Formats: sequence, C-alpha cells, structure tokens
Amino acid sequence: MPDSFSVDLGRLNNVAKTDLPNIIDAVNGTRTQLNSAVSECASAFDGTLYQAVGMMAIPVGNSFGYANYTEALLDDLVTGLGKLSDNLAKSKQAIHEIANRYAAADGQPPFPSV
Amino acid sequence: MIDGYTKSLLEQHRSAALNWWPPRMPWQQNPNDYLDQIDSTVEALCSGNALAADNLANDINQAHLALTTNAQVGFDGIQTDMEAWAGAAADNFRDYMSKVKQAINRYDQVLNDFKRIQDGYTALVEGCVTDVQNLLNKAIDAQNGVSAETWQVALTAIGGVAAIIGAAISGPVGWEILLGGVALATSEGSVLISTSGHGETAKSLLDGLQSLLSSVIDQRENFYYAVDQLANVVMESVDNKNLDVVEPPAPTIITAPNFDPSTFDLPSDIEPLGIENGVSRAPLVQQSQQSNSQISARLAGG
Repeated sequence: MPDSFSVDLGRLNNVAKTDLPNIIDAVNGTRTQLNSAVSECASAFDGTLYQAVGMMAIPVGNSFGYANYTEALLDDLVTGLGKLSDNLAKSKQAIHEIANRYAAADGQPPFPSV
Repeated sequence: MIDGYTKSLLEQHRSAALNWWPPRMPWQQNPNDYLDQIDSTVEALCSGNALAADNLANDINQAHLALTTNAQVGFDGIQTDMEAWAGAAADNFRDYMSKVKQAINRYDQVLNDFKRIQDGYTALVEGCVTDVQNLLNKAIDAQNGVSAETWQVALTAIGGVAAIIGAAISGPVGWEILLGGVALATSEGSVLISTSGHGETAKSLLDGLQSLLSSVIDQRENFYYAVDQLANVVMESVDNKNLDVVEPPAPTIITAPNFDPSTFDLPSDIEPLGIENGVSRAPLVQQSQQSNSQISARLAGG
C-alpha cells in the first residue's frame, strides 16, 4: 500500500510540476507574442490615410481606425489570457501544496518546489 | 508613406503630362491642380505600412502557434495524473480544467480568424501600392502617346483580399456573420485609363485613383467591423455568456478559505491509513484581492 500511495502523490505533484506548467507556458507564450503585436499596431496602420482623405473631403464612415480596433482586441486577449494564467499558476501552487501536505502527513519528504 | 519607385512614377507622369499639355486659357483649369490631386490621392492610397502590417500578422500567427503547441500535452497529462483522485474539490478542479480547455479553444479560434483578417488587411495595403503603380505606368504610357486606346487596368487591392480571407469560418453561434462584409466587397475590379488626350488621361487617372480609394475605404470599414466582431466573440456583453467561457471561474482549491481533505480524497485503497487526519487545513494559496480584468471592467461599463 505505501508504494501505491507514494506513486499517487507523485502523480498528483506531476500536475503541478509538468502538466499545468505546459499549459501556463502556452498561455504566457501567446501573451508575449500578442504584446509584441501591440507594439506593431502604431506603425502598421493608417493615420496618414485619414489626414489625406480628410483634406480631400471624402467621407469616411468610421474615424476609429483599424489600429484602435486591433489594439483593443489585442488588449482584451492579453488581459483575458493573463487572468487565465494567474489562476492556473495559483492552481499549480495549490496542487503542489496538497501533494506536500499528504506527503508530510505520511512522513515523506516534501516535493521540490515547482 | 510613398515608396521611392511610386514617387518616381508620379514625377514621370507629371513631367509627361506637363510636357504634352496644350497651352491653356486663363479660365481653364491649371493642369497642376489635377496633378496635385493625383499626388494627394496616391499619398492616401500608399499610407499603409505593408511591412509593419505583415509583422503584425506574423506576431498574431506566432501567438496562435504558441497557444496550440504545448497546451494539449498539459491537458492530456492532467487527465492521466488526476485519474486516481476523487472528491468534490478534485471534481471541481477537473471541471475547471475542462473550462480552461474550452477557453483556450475559444482563444485559438479567435487568433486563427484574427490572423486571417490581418493577412487580408496586409494584402489590401500591398495591393494598393501595386494598383497605384500599375495605373501610373499606364498613364505615363498614355501621356507619351504609346497607344490610342482606352485601357482597362485590373485592380488587385480589392479582389485579392477575399481570396486570402476565404469563405465560411466555423466557430461559435453567430460567428458566420463575421466576415460577410469583407468577402462581399469585391465589386470594383478595374478602372479605365483614357488615352484620347493628355488632360483626359490625367483626369481618368485621377478618377481611377479616387474610385480605388473609395473602395479601399469601404474595404477598411469591413476590416474594422470584422475585428470588432472578433472582440465581441471575446467579450460578448449579451448576458455575459462569453465571459465565463474566456475567463472560467477559479477552482475551489484556490478560492476556498480552508483546505478540506475530505473534498480531495485519497484513493479508497489508501484511505484506511487515516492519513487525511494529519493533513493541514490551512488555505492552499495566499488569498489576494483579485483585480477585475479589463474585460470584466468593460462589461461592467467601466
């Protein structure tokens, strides 16, 4: 029985040590790329278009440019993924803590921090 | 910003037009008025930065790839590593992870469509420059008297966009309306350059450029609409359905004031050891005041 107990705790700690970090890395990698995309927005779009068409009196349906829409969407994605990442990181700590508490109660050494 | 080649074409056209333009009476329009309008229209059409737009598309694609590359390995591992654990807290955590997977799928869909939209926008920016250069080359030839016909010049800026973005997009209910406007905006396929006289050539060039500009402005409006629709998919405020999808509520292992081992059971074959009695019941993680996300703030009207 102690053997199977030990294996089960190790598997639980795996969630904190390996499984959740894989997901967190994916989410954070995405956030990093999206933040880089935000920095491209300012130079990618059409400020001069609006100046030019304004001078030519051509009606433009929407003065809130593509850059603004794009930045807003990127911000929403970065923010939403950030909250997801925060909760996953806390879950990682919690699962690690659960595994360690059971290990301590059983007289086993703690798992290395994750 | 107008590139060097386009600028040289504008100068060649101005030079050719003025070289051939007949003497005008004082009440007749100054040819420079036409030519100045051509310059400002070309400036507007070439105002996008294709390289930066392409970089942005690449960043979005990299973000998409980052999300999908490693996440599935983690979800598979959790399914295996959690299989021996039972109880309310364990079930709640499994349910939370299932919702996280659903959220990541939603972000995956949004990023995939976002990338396609941005590719289409890049094609529009690049197509504008190509079309301007084609029109100017034809007009220069016409001003130099190479042909006596009216030339039809095909435009790439508009038609190419729909081809890149493609047709239907699969996604949540209602998403199919997303790119309808973009895909339909392909009607302006060509413009005519007159060769019947130098003034007529300049005027037809200006007409063609303004027609292209008008179509491009319409097309850009469609892009704004498409991106706005994507933002709605992320933060749809109608009954807040999507907020739960993209921001699943935190699991009880991080929200409960204390840890209760009976909600996170050991496998039944181990339970007789009574080990749970010695497990600390203190909170598993430090409780901190979580600030509302930007999405939550917007939904709350902030």
